[in-house]
Amino acid sequence: MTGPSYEFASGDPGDPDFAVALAALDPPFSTVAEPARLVRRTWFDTFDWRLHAAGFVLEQDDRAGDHQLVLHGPDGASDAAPADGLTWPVLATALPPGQLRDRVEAVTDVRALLATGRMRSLQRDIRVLNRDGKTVVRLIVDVARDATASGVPALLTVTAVRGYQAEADRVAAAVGSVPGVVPNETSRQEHALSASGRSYRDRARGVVITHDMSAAEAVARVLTGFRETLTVNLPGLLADVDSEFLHDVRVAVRRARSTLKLTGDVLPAEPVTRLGTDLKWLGDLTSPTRDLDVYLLGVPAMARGLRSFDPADLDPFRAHLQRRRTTAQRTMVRGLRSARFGQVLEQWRALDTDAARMPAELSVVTLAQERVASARRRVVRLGSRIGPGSPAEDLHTLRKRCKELRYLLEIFSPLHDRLAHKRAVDVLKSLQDCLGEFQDSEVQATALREFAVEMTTAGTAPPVTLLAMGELAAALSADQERARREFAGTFATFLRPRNQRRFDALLVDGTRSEARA
Amino acid sequence: MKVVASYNIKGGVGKTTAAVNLAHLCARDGHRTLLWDLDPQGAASFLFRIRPRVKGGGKALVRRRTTVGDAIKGTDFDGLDLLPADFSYRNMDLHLDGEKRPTRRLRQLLGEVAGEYDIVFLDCPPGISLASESVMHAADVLLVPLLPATLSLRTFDQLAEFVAEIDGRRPTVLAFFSMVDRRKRLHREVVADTDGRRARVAEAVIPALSAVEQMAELRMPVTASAPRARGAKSYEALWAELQAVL
Repeated sequence: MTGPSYEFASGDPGDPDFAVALAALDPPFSTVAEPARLVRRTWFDTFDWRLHAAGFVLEQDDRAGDHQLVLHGPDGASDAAPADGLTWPVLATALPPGQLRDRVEAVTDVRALLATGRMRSLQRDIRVLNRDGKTVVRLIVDVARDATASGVPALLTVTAVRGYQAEADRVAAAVGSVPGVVPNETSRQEHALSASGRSYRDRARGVVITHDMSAAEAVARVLTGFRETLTVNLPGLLADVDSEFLHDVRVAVRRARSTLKLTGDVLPAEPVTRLGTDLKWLGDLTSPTRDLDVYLLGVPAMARGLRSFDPADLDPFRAHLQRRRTTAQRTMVRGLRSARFGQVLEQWRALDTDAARMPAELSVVTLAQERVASARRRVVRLGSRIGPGSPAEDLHTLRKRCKELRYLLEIFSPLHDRLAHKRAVDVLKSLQDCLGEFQDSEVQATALREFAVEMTTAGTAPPVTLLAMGELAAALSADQERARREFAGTFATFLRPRNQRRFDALLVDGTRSEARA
Repeated sequence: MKVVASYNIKGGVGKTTAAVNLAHLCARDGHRTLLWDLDPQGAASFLFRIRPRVKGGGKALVRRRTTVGDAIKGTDFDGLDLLPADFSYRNMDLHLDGEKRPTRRLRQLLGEVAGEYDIVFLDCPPGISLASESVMHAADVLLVPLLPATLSLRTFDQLAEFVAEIDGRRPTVLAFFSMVDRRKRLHREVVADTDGRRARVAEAVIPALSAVEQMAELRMPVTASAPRARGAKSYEALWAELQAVL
């Protein structure tokens, strides 16, 4: 098999074609250069860099009317597919069927692929021949041609023809020994990203709170982080690029609301109350669309689970959800483009100034200890009162208290010992999963009944679709009953002294350096 | 993965020329293609400018001390790789004889790269031997070039009988006339006389052309050096018939 390729950058702007390096190959090699061609490359990834995180590079190569998508994998393998007819951004499911789509879809899931950078280059293929006139190594000289490419070096790639790695190594050694030619450390993709003002570290930024902060300063900083998350996801949400933009906005809003509820008393009362009201409005505004997204995303799995019906019997149901979603999304976008929303963001920003006026006596460490302990006690108290005959509402309330405890753990995670934090979250997560299944099953079963009524009223429900939806509702009810039966054991596990102690051992001694949320 | 063996008991009938040109066309059409030069003379390797050498020789391959994958070389043509000849292949029978189930060995070796290639062409040496039997067990199609001569047809009949008697998996036999000179009455008559054998003889006929002979000078398939020439077109026609059989 072929070994590694080499890539060199030209440090000499006067020799972008690597003429000196190529001359150094003869003897024992000779070279044959093909005519140069203009290549336009576009790189794609999800908004949260899923392909990059998994070691993949997806690029579209446009040359002489031929549009080719190429996926370079972390294993060195490449897959290609035609890119004709694609209108970006797209989900992986819109790519041509084949190995490339399968590999991309496994990583990107529900996130759309967006163009992250573009670059035009003049490329020239050069064949390196041995004494028999056989091509043993392939070179590509790439000279960037965009206006933003000033300072971007020319690149030379050295790749062995299969079975000729030794020759490629020799060529690379010869090229690398030429003064001014250095191993390349910045890929063309990174140059293109930089030119578009983006970076892989876009998503890595988090909220920084430290042990030496006051409670007010830390809480304001946390709220700022949620606002920034909302702002950065807003364009994608408004353009309806994929469902995760809305999901991330709603998570930010939910966490901001919890932060206000659980720790907002350290900030000025009036702005906190106003922001709380505004965030509730925002949550309500975005809820219907997100709920419908969740149903739509879940329909394929539901359809596969049908025992007595064909998955296609749910097509009218899917179409109904899609129509509802289109309407809900329009309403949501109107709200997000409204003056009111603009004011919400302004007032949210102003909280930073309000926080600065607050006294600094209460430290964030004290706040964290108090609030986490208090939230845990609430969970223990409520959960201990739930018995076999307790109404469903009690479990729903417990779920909310568990979420609050979870949010507090996440808000204050920079102050926690990493391992202790993980253990506490794991303990809580098992309980949350059980309660989540219980409530979600009930909510979805109720929603199915409502959809069935809507569709019957609208005349869009063939009998077989209604029956299939009935089977789904029955399965959800069974899931809910199972979760109910499992609750007692799950909560007993949560209550175990060893697990409860995990919430006491969270904070480090305060000597840890600055950490990120 | 499908395996096509270019084979005839007789030498000098156009086996290598067929294997080289068909492999090139196969890769040109987008199939991942491997050509294994099994002939110790190494003509196919020469045509692709690849030195006829395998580390450890045929013995190392058969005994898996050198893997097939490690021995493969890329040609100058996209999608076409070559497993080179080695002079030690002249002792291939000896190497195979030392193995369990020697007639299955080549198929097993090709199995190592089954995921990498769609079609493998075997350029076989002339003669009939243990290595030939191993080729027949490995091949899905036995592509048999025939000179337009009576004795050629007789040899072909013998080969067809031999294949029919193979135990287990048998290749499909597809013969074709090679090096045909239409100016010669005998050639015309022999080609026409095989109407009754059409089930096993291709309609495509490869003419005796200097362009084909010049392959050795240019060191590339005629289908690459002169794709519009008559010789190349005849291989295109043969390739079309071969695909129908595959």
